[in-house]
Amino acid sequence: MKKYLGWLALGIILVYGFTALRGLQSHSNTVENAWAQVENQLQRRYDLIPNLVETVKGYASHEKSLFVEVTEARSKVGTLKIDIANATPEQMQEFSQAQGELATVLSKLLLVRENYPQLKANENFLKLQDELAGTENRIAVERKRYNDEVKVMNNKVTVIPSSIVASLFGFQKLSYFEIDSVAKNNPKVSF
Amino acid sequence: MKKLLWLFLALNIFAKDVPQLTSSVEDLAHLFTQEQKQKLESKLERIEQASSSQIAILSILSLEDEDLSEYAIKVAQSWKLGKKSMDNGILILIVKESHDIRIEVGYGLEGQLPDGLAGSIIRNAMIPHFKNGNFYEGVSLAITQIDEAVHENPIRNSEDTKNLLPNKPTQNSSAQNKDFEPGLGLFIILFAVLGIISKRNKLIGATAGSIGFTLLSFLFVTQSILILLLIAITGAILGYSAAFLQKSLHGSKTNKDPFSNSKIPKDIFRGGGGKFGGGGSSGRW
Repeated sequence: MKKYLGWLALGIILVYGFTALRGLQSHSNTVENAWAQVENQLQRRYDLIPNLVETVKGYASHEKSLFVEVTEARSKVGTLKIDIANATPEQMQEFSQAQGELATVLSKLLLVRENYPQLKANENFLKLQDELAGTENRIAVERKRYNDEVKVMNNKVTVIPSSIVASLFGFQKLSYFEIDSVAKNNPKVSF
Repeated sequence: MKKLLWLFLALNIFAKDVPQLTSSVEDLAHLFTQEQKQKLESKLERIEQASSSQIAILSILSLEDEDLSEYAIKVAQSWKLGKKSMDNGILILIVKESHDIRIEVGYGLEGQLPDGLAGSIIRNAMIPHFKNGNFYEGVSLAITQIDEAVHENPIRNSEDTKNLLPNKPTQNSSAQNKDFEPGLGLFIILFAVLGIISKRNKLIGATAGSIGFTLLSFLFVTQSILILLLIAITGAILGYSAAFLQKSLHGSKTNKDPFSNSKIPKDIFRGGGGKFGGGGSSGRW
């Protein structure tokens, strides 16, 4: 009888280990998927910038230092790629800081409109401004979805008993994608 | 500390509630007369019948410290406007006191109705009318423009087009039925089969129930071994008593089925499972 109990226990442990591993793997796919959506929207913002800068330049050509600032922030973002599955917290910090700076400098760019009534009335500029605001909003939505998934994943990785399986198979805690509140403030549109 | 804040955000402790969806025009701020509301509803219904896109309008008095776009997406996500596979829902949110407008566009329509166009509809169709207090005209014009942007064959405003449209049944009810979780059908089939087995032999029914439910739960619901163990026990009990349960379920079905058509009015407006990703635009009048 005792012999059977031992086998039974081993069986249960194996079944548990298998199911936990399966859960970890499928959830890590979910997280990567959520991150891909975040990156899509970040890319979308990145792609919008040249058009926006050109439009603003047409009306406010002497705001040169601002254009330089935008271009620099953009190229910094362009060079920072991140591999989400293996990113260290420091890398994530650097990444989100660069994205945050870009958002800040873009809202400064939009504020230029206050000094140029013609720019403010330009339908093309208004549309680009809407696109940018919409993209910032999408980034916020996807970022929240990603962070929610990371929370679930990190629970699985750190809380016993699934944490034992996680450490056996090398699953690690993932970093949240946080942007400081200054940069998070979307450019407000007023009429 | 930041994580604690996140938890609060996730739980929405201080957040404004999402109103219940019963009509495509939820006019909580009373911007429209009864007649105007009905006109808008029938216009939206015609659009939905012609294209399956679901547009809903929500007017509220104030946001109560909530962020406009965050509140809009919260409402859109919980109402699930649009069909599940197409994500073709649109929410128009109007806040009376702060004069805020937002058009929230479902994933599936972001291509046809980009943020810039949504913004231009707000600026050119809604704001001028709203400034004069003509909410109905502004919203009606916005709906027409959205319809034109989103659909190949937009409906016309005149009443007689109503008869020209093919008399398709509303998509709502069928969309609801498709909302099944994967595997739910299998659970139902299993339960039906168990009923037949347990009628013959309760012990075999219990064994089959235990194995069947555990297997299906493992595949579709959870991988947690503790819960699976509980399910195995529950499955055994269910399998043992399936025949009896089905008999009593059948007997009480006529009065207890919550989905029976007699209780819910047929013209109730429901979302079809569409998803939103934050697309759209905001404005202020």
